[in-house]
Amino acid sequence: MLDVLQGTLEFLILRTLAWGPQHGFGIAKWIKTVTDGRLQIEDGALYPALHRMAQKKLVAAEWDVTESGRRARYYELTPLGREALGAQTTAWNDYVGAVQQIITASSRKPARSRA
Amino acid sequence: MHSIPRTPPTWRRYLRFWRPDPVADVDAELEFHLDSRIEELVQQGLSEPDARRAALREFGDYGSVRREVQMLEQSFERRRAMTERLGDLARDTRYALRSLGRSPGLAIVIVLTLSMGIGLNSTMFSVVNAYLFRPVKVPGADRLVVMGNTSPLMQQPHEIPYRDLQAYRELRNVFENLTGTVSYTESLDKGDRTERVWVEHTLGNYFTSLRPPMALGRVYTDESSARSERVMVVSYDFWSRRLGGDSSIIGRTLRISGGPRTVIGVTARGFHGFAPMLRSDGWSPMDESPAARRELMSSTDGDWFTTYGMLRPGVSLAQARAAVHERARQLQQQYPSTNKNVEPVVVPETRARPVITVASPVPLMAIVVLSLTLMVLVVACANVASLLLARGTTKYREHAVRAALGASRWRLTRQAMLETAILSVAGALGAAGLAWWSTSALGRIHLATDAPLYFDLTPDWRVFAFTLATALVTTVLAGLAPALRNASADPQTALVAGGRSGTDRMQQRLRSIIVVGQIAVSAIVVIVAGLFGRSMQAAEKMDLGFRTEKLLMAQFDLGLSGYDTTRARAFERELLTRVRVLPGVERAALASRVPLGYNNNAQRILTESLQRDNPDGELVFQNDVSPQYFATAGPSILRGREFAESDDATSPHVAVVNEVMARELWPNQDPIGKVIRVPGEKEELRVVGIARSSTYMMLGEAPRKFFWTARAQHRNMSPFLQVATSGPPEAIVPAVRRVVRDLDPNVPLFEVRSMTDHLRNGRAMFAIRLGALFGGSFALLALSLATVGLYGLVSYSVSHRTREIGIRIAVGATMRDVVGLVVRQGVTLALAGVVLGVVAALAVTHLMASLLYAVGSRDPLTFVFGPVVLGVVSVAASLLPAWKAAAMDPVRALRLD
Repeated sequence: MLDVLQGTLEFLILRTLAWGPQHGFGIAKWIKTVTDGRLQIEDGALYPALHRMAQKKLVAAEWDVTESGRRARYYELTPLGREALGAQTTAWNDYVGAVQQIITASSRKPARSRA
Repeated sequence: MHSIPRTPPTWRRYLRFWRPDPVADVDAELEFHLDSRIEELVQQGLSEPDARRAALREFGDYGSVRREVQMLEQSFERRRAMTERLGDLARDTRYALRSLGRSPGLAIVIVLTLSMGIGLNSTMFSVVNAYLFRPVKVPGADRLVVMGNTSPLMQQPHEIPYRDLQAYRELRNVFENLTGTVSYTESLDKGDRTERVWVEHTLGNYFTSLRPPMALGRVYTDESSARSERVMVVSYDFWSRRLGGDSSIIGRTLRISGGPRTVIGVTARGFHGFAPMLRSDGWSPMDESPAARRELMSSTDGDWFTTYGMLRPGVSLAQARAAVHERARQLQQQYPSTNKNVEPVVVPETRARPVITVASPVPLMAIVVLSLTLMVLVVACANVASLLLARGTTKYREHAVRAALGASRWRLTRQAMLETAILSVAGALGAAGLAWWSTSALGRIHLATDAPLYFDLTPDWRVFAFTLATALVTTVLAGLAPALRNASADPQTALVAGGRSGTDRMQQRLRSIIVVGQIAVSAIVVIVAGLFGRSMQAAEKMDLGFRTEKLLMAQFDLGLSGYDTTRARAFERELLTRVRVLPGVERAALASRVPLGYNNNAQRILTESLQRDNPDGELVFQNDVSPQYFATAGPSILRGREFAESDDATSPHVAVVNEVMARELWPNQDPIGKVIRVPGEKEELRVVGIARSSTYMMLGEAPRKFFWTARAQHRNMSPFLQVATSGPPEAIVPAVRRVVRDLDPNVPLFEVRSMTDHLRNGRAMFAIRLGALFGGSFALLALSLATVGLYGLVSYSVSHRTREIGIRIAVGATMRDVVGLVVRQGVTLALAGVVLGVVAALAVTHLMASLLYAVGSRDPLTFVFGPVVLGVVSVAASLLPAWKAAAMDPVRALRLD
């Protein structure tokens, strides 16, 4: 199990919301599902992050009614959020690639340049 | 009927309550999360309590998350509300500017009107500020007090003798320090010529007590005066303008009044002493050596000191007064002959300007002047409000539309107020410029005297704050009526009826009220100004008891040029002989002092009757004069004779007394031949004449004892030449100067002016003339503003009655009928205003009674004449539009619209 790094949560939320508007509970569930629960996130941690993102105008929040008829606060990507998602995806890819490279480098001796 | 809603729907108002409530929202959001998870877990087969526990565990610290999110939301909400408000304000400002830009002429007229109104207030406040508020620039200025004595001889607080000053100096528990100073004119020997300098002779502790700011060198101390050191601190101005501004001045020795004096320091720029009007050139320690001190302590006949005290921190004025009065009581018992009924006063330094003697009416004067200027501002505001209202019709419809579209009343009012605020701010800026200019102009108005007087009126932050506050008041005064009227816009009538009938009637009523108020306020200003004017007139006509017309005065100081008594007497004799034969000269004489001048001398005297009450005698004001003085300048001699050439140093000493003195000292006796003794002098004075009582020290003073001695029998070096002329006195000035130059080119003449000038522009009437001048200008301003207001309203109403008047003319109304119709409207308003104003004036003018001379505060002439002027002006203001109305072509008038 991995601890979620600072900033990672924001990325995960952006990624989740890329599928469409979702409320906090839905976001938490989705993250758990796609990661198979490998990322240890307390559900509570999600909310300050969501509200901060709302203030940064990365997401927009609106009250709506769920399928079961309950009022819930839905979050949606804003154009700014979409842009951030793109930028962060690239950054993550770079990061993951770099880490991958380090791992490979330590197991096979001569370092191989990345394509 | 049309289906336009009369007012914005009420439910809109409740929209506000649907704004996100951050606390409740966060709770709802988090609860939704927990509930959803619990539901899920229950479906997976957990019991409800177990599911709740599990959900909470997965959630983490519920409490802290909740707090954090709530805080985030609240701060977010605050910021959003702020941006929204700022955005609204920016939008409204842009809107207001655009709307003003649509009628630039109107905006300019309004801004100019306000600039004048506010500028006038700022200017007068600058003056008041300089007199009453601005502290002197020394540390602890708020603890600085001025002391003065009041006595039966002189009711006004005046300077304090050395002995009393030393006694009060002992009150160490209330005064940190107490010091005194006397201003002298001395001569500065510059080698080829002598110049007159104004030097303060102070107690040794002057600088250490008051700590004025210094630019160079050091100050003197108590030790300096105890050793009677001949040192001097000079003012920055004197140093830079007359001593060359070289820092090597420190340690240099000047020749002052025939003796050496070493310059030890230069005060900081801008410090000229504590008297707010006199620019002192320098300061020297007085002689406080043991011998001199013994002399000073033994009598009160020497110099009297302007006395400054620095209160100890935390000591109240009341405590200081109590301590001083206690000490004064002891002095009264200790020295009954000199201190009987002498009572000291202690006032804050700001209440002792320009000098403690005449400071008491200053606050009242300030209140009257500021009230007048505020009234002028009110009248100006009324015009602005009226103009804004007149513009209203179009504006009004626009507001009605916006109200119908759902703009809140508050928003609309705020917008209208914003327009006025922009105008006011622009007006305040203009006012600041005006005040800057006018205060520097006012600062140049001077008393008729050669003394280095100055008055610093430079605006400071108080003036700035006052201007701002005035602008604020202006916004409210001028903007509220139009704003409220527009806000009450009723869309139904405004839009349906095309903004005519109801609107107009309401606007007419509002503007009528404004005009009536305007005229009422102007009436008060005119009446107050009238009272000042009448008072000045009365003062100018007042019989002062001495010659005021065709009399020239010129002062010279032979002491400055190193004359001894014998040479001085010869010079004076020769001068009189030569001046008396100049063409256009009727008579000439010399006197040590002029009435209502800046110098007075009281002499302690004894007579048989006085001696019974008081072995030390009584102080009586006195003047040394030459032969022919009474014939030339003085009051007429009622009995006996005036001084003659035969009254010289070798003959028996003589005196002339005035009626009051004759009556009080020798009741039911013939004063001629009676004896007056001066304590400490060998020679007795024998009364040879009785002169008419006259005015000596201030206008309107109660008759007081006064006597004259013969100059030749006393020592006095600095007399005034008095010349009675047959023509204008100024015409003989060149001839007189030539005579003096021929006698000795090194004797300069000072204070060369006619007695009329001395009285009108000198100490005697300066204040009252200034009051009349200010009052008159304010009245003129208020009057013209009110006239414009009335004219505007009448013209407006005529323009809106065009059709009615056209019909009237068409059915046979004569020109007179029409003019009468229109003028009647104007005069009715004016009459209402004048009556209101007169009633208000009757109620308040008694408050200024103490500022008036020889004129009652309900002077009938003023109260009749003022309203008549207003009436005439009002008729004139209504006649113009009336003529226009009468001259209109009925056919065109009817086709209109």
